Amino acid sequence: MKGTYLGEFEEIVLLTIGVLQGDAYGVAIKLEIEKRTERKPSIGALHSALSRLEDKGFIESREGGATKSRGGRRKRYYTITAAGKRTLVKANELRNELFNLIPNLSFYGLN
Amino acid sequence: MKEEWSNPPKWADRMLGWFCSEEHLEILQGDLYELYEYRLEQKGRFMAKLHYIKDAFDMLRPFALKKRKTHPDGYRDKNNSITMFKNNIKVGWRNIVRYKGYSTINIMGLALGLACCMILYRYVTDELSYDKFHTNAEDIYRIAFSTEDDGVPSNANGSLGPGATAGRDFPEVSHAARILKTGSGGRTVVAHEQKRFYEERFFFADSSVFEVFSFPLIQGDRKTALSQPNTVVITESMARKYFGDLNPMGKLIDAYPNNDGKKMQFMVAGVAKDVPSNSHFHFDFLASFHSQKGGRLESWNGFWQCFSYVRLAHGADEVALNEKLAEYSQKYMGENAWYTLSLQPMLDIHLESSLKSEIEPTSSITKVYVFSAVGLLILVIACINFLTLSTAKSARRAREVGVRKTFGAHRSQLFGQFISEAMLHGTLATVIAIGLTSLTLPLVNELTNKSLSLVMNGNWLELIGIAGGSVLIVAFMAGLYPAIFLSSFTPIIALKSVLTGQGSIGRMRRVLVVFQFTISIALIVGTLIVSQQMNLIREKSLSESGDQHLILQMNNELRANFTAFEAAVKQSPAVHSMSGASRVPTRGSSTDCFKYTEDKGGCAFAYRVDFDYPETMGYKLQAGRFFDRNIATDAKGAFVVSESALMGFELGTAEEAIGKKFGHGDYPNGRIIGVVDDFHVYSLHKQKQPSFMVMAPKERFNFMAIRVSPEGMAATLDHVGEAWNQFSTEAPFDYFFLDEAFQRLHQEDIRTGKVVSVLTLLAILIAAIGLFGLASFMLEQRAKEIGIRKVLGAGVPSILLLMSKSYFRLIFIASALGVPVSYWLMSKWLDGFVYQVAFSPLVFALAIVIVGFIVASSIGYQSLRAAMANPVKSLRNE
Repeated sequence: MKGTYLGEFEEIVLLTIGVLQGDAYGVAIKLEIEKRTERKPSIGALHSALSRLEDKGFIESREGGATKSRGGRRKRYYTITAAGKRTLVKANELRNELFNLIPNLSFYGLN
Repeated sequence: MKEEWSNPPKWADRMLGWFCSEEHLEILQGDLYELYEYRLEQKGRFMAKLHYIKDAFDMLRPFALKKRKTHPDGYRDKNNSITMFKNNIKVGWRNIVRYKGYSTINIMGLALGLACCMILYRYVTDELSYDKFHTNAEDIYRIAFSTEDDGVPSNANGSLGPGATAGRDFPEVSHAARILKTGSGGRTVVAHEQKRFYEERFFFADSSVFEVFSFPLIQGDRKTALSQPNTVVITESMARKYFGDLNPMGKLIDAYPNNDGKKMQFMVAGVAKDVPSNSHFHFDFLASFHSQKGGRLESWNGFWQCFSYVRLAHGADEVALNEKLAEYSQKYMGENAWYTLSLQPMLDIHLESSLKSEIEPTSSITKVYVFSAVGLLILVIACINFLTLSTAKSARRAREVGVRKTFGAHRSQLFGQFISEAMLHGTLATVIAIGLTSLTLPLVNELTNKSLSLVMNGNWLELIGIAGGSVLIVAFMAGLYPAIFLSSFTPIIALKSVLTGQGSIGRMRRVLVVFQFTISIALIVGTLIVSQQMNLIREKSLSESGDQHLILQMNNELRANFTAFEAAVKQSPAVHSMSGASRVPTRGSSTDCFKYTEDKGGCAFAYRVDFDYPETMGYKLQAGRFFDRNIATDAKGAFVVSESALMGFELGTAEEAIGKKFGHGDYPNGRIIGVVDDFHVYSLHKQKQPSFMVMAPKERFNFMAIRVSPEGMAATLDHVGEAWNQFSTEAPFDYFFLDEAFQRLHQEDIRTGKVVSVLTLLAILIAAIGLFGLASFMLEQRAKEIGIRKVLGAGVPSILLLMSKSYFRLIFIASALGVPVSYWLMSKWLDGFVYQVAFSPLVFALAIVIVGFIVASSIGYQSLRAAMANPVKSLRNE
């Protein structure tokens, strides 16, 4: 298996899949990211990240839900796996830990 | 914004299907469709399509690509040919690094050859691009004039009439426009407030000129800018020169463009973009034709510096129109028609026109051919280096080939290996060549007066195409034969015995080397003869006395004070003689056609001059006498004719001609008083033409010719300038030397000569380094042989002789081939000149000696080193 390092964009995608619950597929993820962050990921970059996340075992996918606007093509829905959840939690903890280690003084000083 | 449903671009869809793996295709396409519809509502159809295309290309990512065969166990097989290609490049690179010397010779040779080709490609495409920027370039024709009986076009210029009436008389002609240059000298003073300059590119033009040509206007109206009298369109750079940052529109300029030297005022009615360098004529000022006064504006008589252009309606039958034009002059002139008309495509003017009185010097298609051929020859020489060196190296690669074949390599794979090695060389050479080209193009521009650059008009794609083409050409020309040869070894022979590079491959190599020498000899002969011819022209255009001819352009103030001005100039002892004249050689070019007796007509250059003109110009008398101040009738109809006029006007011998009746213009009943040797009017390319001189009042003088001694030129110029400023306040002091003017007429030849010599030098250099590499290689292979010979008692001289003997035999063969070829080519080139240098055997001998010297110096050092080496060193190891 490839390394399980979680990139910054990958993390955002992973979180967004979590936010969208069971409704996470390509376009929905893209629009959600556009809504919540300043960035506008291209659909190619997004799928590239999704494919990497799947390779790393952080998400799994199932197909279904063809609509007319897709020209009758199916969607691929993504859900977070247990491994994905663990990695997210770990990343969050690590960040909080480091954040809390910053002394208040210098933190406000930096402000 | 609500748009109707529309489909995304199909081709983008197809492309996606083409590279995208099936596993992902449905999902990705679905997403793209959904996004498309979303954007259709948000941003409209155009943006939606644009985004769709962008996104489709954006899918070109590793995860989405189709995969090659997948092994059953899920291991994805990498494409083997890609792996092998990588390996080939790696092995090729190692070979380059290992034999640094040979690789440098190969790559530098190829790079020089490619750089030459790239520069010449730029040059040639520029030559071929002349006038193509006009929107209707193919429908634009020039009316050519013919004074010959057979109607073959002879003059680019002509009379004013045809250009004016053609538009009215022929339905095929959609627009017609004339371009007129006045003031025989071709230069006029232009002034605005304090700024005063001589301008050479001042023309009069019909208002339809911007309908015929598509020179873009920045300001002003294309249709009406020149419809009023006394209006002018100027170029951008002239606007900057005279008006700085101010808006030039509506401003006034003064100019003295006509023969009478009177001041005319023009209002700026338009600003044109500067004329691109690849135009057959360049204007800075286009004044409206209507500014010219008098009823002669549509006259069919007399040739002016007037160039008539027509734009035909699209699809018009130009053959039929040409036939109508052949008889057109009779319609207006009846039986007196002394010229006929025909159409000349504008696109032919730059390269294929050889008419008299071209508006600007033209180039020739021969030159384009010569340059293309020389460029190709240089590349061939460089590729031959590669061929000879890589076949010579074959012994070293034979073992590698043997081993590879034993391990199951197919011949086509080995072929691929050697081709990709050639491509590697080609790529390195191309990169260096592009660097060299961009470094040398500024020099080339200076030499050729063009504005070439590596990337023309921001066309990067073209550069990429050129680079890719170069790599392929090198791979094909240089790599094909070695690849076939090297991949053909049978493993058992390649592994067991030593290939010496003798036999058929050795013969092949010798043929190639002979070919290189032949090209070198031919190029050297060519260069030597071109430079001899240029020297001849320079000598011919100098006067025999060694005096210089200083030419001034007259103006009305000077004419008014003519005698006083003359007296002031003559005060200097350096001034030997001076005279006014309507024209001087190299300037002013209309041929006068007239009736010289009551019933006979002919054409000649007419010079209206003062008493001392023939003497000032240093013309040599054959019979009769020059003009004499003491003979009153000389001022009224005495003619001095040139030698070729005897033939042209049926005057018999020089002696017989004296006293014969002869008439022209104001003096229809004149007499011939003298005959002089022919003199040059234009470039030495052209046949000498009948000319005559006749006395005329000072009002007709456009020039002042002054013969001065070459010593103390600066002081003389100061003196003449002082006299000028004393009498002429409106026009700044300006002059030119006659010999320089003659040389400018041969500028194209001189440039061609320079370019060819540089190319020759390069070709010889490439051939020499190739030979150097080959010789050192062959000697290395024969090191043992030399060692044994030395041990058995051979001396250094005999070994030197042995090693270089074969090369000198090759030179001999090359000379036998190169001499006749170059003789033939150069005599064709010289045919274009009236004066030709004689072929001297010395030239050929010199070329052979030069090649021999280069061969001797490139193999001599190596041979000497091999001959002097201690035999123990080469024999010690087995």
